[in-house]
Amino acid sequence: MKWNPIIFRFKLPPTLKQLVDERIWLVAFIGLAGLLLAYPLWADGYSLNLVRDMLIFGIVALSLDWLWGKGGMLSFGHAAFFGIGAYSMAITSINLDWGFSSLLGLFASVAIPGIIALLIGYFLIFAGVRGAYFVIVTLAIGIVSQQAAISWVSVTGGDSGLLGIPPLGFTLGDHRFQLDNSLSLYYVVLTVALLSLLFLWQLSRGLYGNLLKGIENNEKRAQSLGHNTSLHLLIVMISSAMLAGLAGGLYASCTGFVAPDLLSLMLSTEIFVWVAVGGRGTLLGPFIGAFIIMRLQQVVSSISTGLWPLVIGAIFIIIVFVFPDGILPFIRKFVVRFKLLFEKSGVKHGR
Amino acid sequence: MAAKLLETSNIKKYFGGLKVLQDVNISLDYGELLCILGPNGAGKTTFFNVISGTFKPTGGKVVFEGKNIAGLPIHKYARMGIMRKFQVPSIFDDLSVRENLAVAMIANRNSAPSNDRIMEVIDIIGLKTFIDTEAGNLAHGQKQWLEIGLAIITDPKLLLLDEPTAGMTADETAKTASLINSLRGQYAIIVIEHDMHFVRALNSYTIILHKGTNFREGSFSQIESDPEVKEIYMGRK
Repeated sequence: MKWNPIIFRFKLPPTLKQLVDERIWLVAFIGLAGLLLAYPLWADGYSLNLVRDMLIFGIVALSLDWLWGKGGMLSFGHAAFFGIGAYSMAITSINLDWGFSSLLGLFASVAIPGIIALLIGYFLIFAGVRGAYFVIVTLAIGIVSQQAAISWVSVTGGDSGLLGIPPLGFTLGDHRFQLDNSLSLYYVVLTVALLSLLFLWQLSRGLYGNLLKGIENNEKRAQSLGHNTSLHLLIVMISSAMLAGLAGGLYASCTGFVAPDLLSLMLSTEIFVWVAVGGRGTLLGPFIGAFIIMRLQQVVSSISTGLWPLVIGAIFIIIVFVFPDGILPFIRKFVVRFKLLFEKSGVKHGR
Repeated sequence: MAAKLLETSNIKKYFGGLKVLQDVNISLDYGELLCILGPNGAGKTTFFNVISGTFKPTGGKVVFEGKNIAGLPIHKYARMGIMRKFQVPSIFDDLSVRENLAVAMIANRNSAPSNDRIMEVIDIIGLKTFIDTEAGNLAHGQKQWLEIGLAIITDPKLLLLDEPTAGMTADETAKTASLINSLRGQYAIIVIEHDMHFVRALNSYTIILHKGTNFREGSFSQIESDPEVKEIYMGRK
C-alpha cells in the first residue's frame, strides 16, 4: 500500500462541538499532567510507587481505548498483551547477561506483543471477524496465554512467576546507569504515559480519527470508497498491543517480578471497566477511570477484601445506566449544553 | 477502436441451485448513462454486487478498461474508479456531512484533497445548510444525496446507483433526477430502478433485466411501448 500522509495533514474547519471537546480535553490533560508532575513534591516513596503502578495501568487502559474506542474492536483479553510484554521483559533481562539486556527486554516487551497481534489480527481481521466474535476470540486468547504462563514452568516459572528482574538501565564498560530509585522510575513512566496520550490524541483528532470512526460506523461503505479497512484496523490492533506490551515491560522492571495473574481474565475485565468508566473513545477518560477505580479498590479492600468484586460489579451497572458513555462524555454534554445556552442569550452565532 | 469502459459478457451468478443471473451482457462507454430496469427478483442488485466486487461471478467476465476485474478485493474496485451507492443509504452516521465527504475524498489517491472541493460537492448535492449536521440526523432523501456525493467526490469513472430514489417523495425524486442529469457526461453512470417515472425523466438507453437475462434493450421510448415489457411489469390482464 502506498503511504498516504494526506490523512494526517489535511484539516477540516472544526465545529463548535469539536472546539468545546478539544478545550475540555486539553484543560483536563494539562491539569492532570501538572498534578502528576508535581506529585513527588509531597508524596512519600510508597505512594509514589502506587501512583506509578496506576499510571502503568492507565497506559494499558489507554491502549484498550485506542483499540476499542477508536478502532471499534473490543478486546476482552487485553491483559494478555500486557502480560506477554511483562514476561518478555522478565525472560529477556533475567536470562541474558549483557550490559543492555534490560533495554533489549523493553524492546522485546513491545515487539513480541506486536508480532502476536500481527499474527492473530491478520487472521481475524482479514477474515472479517468483527464485533462480538472478535470479543470472544480475544477472550480465548487471554485464557490461553494465562494457561501458557502457568504450564510452561521452565520458562515462565509457572504459578510462582519470575523474580529478580533487574531495573531498567545499561552498563557500558565500567559505567553503570540504572533507574533504581522511585523518583526516576516515576518520571519515566509518567513521560511514557503523557507522550503516548498526546500522540494518540493528536493522531485521532483529525481526519484519521474520522476515518476510524467511519470504519466503525459502516465498514462496507469505507471499503467501497476505496479504503483498505482491514489494514487500518490491523495497524490499530498492533499498535494497541505494542502499547499494552510496553506498559507490561515497564511494570515488570518497576516491580521486579511477574506472575500469571498479569494475564488473567480478572485483569482484562478491570481494564475494560476502567475504559468504560472513564469514557470510551476519549483517551484521557480511561486514565481517569483507572485512577478512580484503583483508588476505590484500595479503599474498599481496606474495609474488607471480599467486598471488591461486589462493588466493582455495582459500579459497572451504575455506569451503564447513569452515564453509559462514561464520565468524560457526561461532563462534555453539560458543557456543550451550557455553552449553547450562553450563546443563544448572548451574541448571535454567525459563520 | 478504443476499449469500452465496462463490458460484461455472459455473467452468471448461482447461489446453490438458484440461478439468479444466467446471462447478462452490457457494454458502456465513458460518460454514458444506462438504466437497468426490472421487476423485483430480476437480479438487478446481484448484478451490481458482481460488477462492484461484492460477489465473484459464477461464470463470465467483467472487463473494466480492458482488464478482467472479477474477483479482486472490494477496495481495489473503488481505486480503479468504480463507485457504488447502495440501495439502503449507506453513510457514516456519526460523522458530519463535511467529515463524510472528507473521509471519502482521501480514499482517492489521484488528486489532492481540498476544502474547496468538499464545498463544491456539498453544493452539487444541495446540502449547503447541513454542512456540520451529523449524517445520521439527515432526512432519508438527504442521506441518499449525501451518498451520491460520497461517490462523486472520489472522481470515479463509473458510478453505480442502486435505486437512488427508493423511499423518496415525488419532490425528492424529481430533484434526484435532475441531480443525475447534471452529472451526465462527467461520469459513466448505471442506474438500477423500478420507478418508471424516474427512468422516464432520465430518458437514456435502457436494459430490461428479467429472470437473470437481458430481456430487452433500447431507448426508453422503445422499451416503454414494448408489449412484452408491459406484460412482465403489469402482469397479464
